[in-house]
Amino acid sequence: MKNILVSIFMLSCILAIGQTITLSGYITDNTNGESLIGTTIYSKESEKGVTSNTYGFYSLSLPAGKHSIIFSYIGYQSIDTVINLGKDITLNIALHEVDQAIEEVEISANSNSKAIMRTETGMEKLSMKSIETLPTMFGEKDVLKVVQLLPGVQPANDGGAGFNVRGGNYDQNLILLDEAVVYNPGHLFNAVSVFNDDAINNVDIYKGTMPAEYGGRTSSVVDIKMKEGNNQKFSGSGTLGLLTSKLTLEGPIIKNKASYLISARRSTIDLLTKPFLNMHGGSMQNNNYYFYDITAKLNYKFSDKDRLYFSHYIGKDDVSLTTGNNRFTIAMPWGNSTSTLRWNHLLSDKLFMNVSLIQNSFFRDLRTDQEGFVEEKKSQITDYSAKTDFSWYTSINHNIKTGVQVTNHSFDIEKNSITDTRRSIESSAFLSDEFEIGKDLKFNIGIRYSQFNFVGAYDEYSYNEDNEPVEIIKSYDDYETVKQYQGFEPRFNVRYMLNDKSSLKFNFSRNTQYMHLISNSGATMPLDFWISSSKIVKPQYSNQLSLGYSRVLKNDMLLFTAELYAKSMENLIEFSNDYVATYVNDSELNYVFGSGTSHGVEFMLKKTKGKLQGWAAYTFCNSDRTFDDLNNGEAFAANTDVKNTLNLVSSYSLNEHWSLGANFIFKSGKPYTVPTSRYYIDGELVDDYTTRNNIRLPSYNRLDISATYTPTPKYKRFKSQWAFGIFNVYNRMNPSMVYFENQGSTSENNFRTITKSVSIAPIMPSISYKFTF
Amino acid sequence: MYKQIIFIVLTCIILFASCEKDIDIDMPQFEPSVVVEGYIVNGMNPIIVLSNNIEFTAESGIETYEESFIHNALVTITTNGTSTDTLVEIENTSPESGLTTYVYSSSKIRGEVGSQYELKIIAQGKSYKSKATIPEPVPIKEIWYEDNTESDDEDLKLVWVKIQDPVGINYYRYGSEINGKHGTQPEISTISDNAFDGGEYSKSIDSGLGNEESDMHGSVSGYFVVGDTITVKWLNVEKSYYDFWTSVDYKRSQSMNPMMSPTRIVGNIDGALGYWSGIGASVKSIVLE
Repeated sequence: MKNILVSIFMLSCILAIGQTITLSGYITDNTNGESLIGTTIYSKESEKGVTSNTYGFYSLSLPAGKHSIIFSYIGYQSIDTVINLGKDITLNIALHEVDQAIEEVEISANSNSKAIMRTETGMEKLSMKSIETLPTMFGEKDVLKVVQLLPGVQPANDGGAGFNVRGGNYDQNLILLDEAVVYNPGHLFNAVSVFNDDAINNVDIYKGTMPAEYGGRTSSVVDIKMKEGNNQKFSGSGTLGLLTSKLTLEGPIIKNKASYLISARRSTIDLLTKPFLNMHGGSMQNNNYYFYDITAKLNYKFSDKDRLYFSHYIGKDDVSLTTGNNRFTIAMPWGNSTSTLRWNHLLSDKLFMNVSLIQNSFFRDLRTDQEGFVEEKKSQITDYSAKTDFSWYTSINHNIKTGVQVTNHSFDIEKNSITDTRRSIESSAFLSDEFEIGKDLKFNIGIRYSQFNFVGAYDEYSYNEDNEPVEIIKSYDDYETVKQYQGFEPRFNVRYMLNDKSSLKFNFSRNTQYMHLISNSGATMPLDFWISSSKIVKPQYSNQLSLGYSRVLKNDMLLFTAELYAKSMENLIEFSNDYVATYVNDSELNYVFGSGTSHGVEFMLKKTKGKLQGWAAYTFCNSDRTFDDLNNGEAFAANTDVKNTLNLVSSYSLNEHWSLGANFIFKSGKPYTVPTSRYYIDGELVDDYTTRNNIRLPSYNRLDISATYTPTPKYKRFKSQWAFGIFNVYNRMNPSMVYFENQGSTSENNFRTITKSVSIAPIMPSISYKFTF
Repeated sequence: MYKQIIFIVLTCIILFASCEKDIDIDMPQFEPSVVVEGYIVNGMNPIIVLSNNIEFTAESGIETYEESFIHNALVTITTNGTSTDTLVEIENTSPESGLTTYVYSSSKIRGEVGSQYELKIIAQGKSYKSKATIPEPVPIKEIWYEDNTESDDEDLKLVWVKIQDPVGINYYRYGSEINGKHGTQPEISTISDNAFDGGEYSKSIDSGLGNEESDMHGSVSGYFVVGDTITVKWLNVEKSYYDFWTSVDYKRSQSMNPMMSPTRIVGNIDGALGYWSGIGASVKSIVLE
């Protein structure tokens, strides 16, 4: 294998020999200076291209001579320019946005011809503009909701921000905000994501193979990049909505050199419902729910070679409820924060370096007060990371990326003033090479190595046969390694162009995950909690093989993709069959470990040009789990096993004022666990559960519509937009969960249990007003 | 704590926008099973109740309860691997409720601390086996009562007991009788000595949620009423019995919660539901004045 790789490398070097000149620079938006991530820079003569990176940087090595270079980014006017390359050139390009009123903006930033040329399957790019006209719950523009409309992605619960990718679990998605991990991506019990679309520049989603620079989760990556802030002029935007309202301000600190962006969002729903809560005799007036988040970014260009970025996110949800004449109070705040400090440095016009220092945390507290008897539980995850990445755009047709990262994880649980801390060090290194052999064959080959050290202070206990701790057998000091795990994660992607309209792709990847979310329920609810791998809990692994076919149709109007995949997952965690939440025992002893498999096929037909845009996606997925200690050791359908899904997503631009949107979703029923029988114990009935996920809920379907109205601006700088929407138009009562209600009485021999379904997302009209200046 | 979190979550969902309706679901295939509820207490005859499980969605009531008992089973107990006795089926009709129940017992066997009892059942064409040993009873050192702090009603009292926990792992279950009548079990009726191994331990005994007498005294629950004689039973039990009742208590407290994981009630009889366990019991009474 090694020899083959070496020969491929040699061969591609030989093919590329000759004098090469490097063209490099940054691509930005001309009005606000935002980086344009993923701009294509392409030479017609040599049929060679490259895309700009996260910071808008590109570097392309070409043979000396005249080149016709195209700079293109969806929604922007392409630049086609002839450059005579004699020596290395730095060329910074500012692209002009296409006027929305004249031409329709494409719904996805994927250019069709670009999509077929990529090596990865299952990769999508979303621009914020693309989601503007789509209907959403409460009228909230939400990137994570749009992600759920892609084939192979399922919402973890109805209307929620959490999602499952290709039969994987909810915790297997790596969600990054400017490189910082976001542990809990949802506000309001996951009804809306924590990402404020006004502050987001770009979203990349990898649901198949993730490039080697990503790791730590086994299913997917959602990589969200914040806007940098307008470095040309002061500007802003605001939205008044039913669920939330928000305001964004941005502008230059030093024109062309330094800029800032700050965006704040707060829930409106609590302010709107407060008067109603007060009405009912005031008994509800002490109940409160609100959330907010603030996203901010600063950047500074020291020189053409050095840039510094600082991004920050902080968000919090606060719930408090009081019952029984103020005798019982419960408060449950939770929230995330992330901070990222980054330094970009160009070592040469071919070698790009980035150094990041990242802090991210997630906390959840629970405080109950029963007539002065206070119980408090606080939990917090804090990560500190340092990482360095290099991108080397070699002149020999190889784009090489390498990097290292070290993260210190700290899990603190404080119960009634006693703190228990668990620490671990996660480190990784990766190397990847993207290269072409001839015109048709393109490879992206990478390897990632990760290591995880579960470290002290930690007391190791011995256990008796009933799994109870007996005595301490070893005490570990601070940062002394208790248990070490490691993973080699190859990532292999190859693309073959069948002709200039279609391509075949093949991917293999292996992923390791050291952090796990333990769920005590089928839904993604606040009862879920994160744990790190430990002496008892082993890392999760996944292997995925996928095969893709893509083709552009109708003169680049349509893109058709078909993807086939098979995935295996190891060391998945569930609670044991007889788990009882007591907090008495070390809860790790209540876990059971098992494996899972998924396979499926995804078809998507996407139209990204014209008045009508959108996609139709069909997904077949089969996912099961096998645990020795669950379901008598037999395989059972995973919670994520939704066999058939059809998503129709569309937007239609009627005229310069109105655009319309509609989504239709059909899904076959989710598996669910119900008791198999009941029996009398001490004269009373108890339920017996023998098999897991032993029934299917009814199938799911829903239609959402929206209309966006853009009035003619009265003032040149002030623009406004009204968005109207109806979520679940025909008010379909889609069951999210099932519960049982007892009716009748035993003395009359008609005691029986009725199955009831709970729908948490009925018909919901929405309206919001947005202004920009 | 879990109930409280669930309470918030449900409240929020309902406050938000939730709708419920009856649905028909194809329930999984019903698998009939034998249910064993068997225990032997120090100084007492063994008690074994045999019944059949019923369909989850079937209508039920007193009749189904009475019909659920398994008759004419062959039930034997071998004491300490030597003497084997066959238990007889005893019919018992409650004079108050008129309810007829059936137990298998034997007057020849009387529970002894430390003895091992091997149970064999042949019922409905299948045989089942399990073993039980009676643990040493842990005496109630002291029993007393205190005024309640939740309401102004001076007739409601909180009953306490104190025990000296022996060193080593112990599992307890507790309950009460009011004026000699079998009371309702507290919502949580089990505890292990994890937190107080080898120490002195005091516990207030909940009168149980379904206690009619204390229910008449307003919204507070868990108290006993002045004038009654309260007998507290403190049972030192085998792990099988502790696990069984811990999971039953948990399931009952979660019965209406649609979001809980499907916890299985664990028994210790292969092929059947239920348990066979030994119990070391101690009791102490107090009159509330």
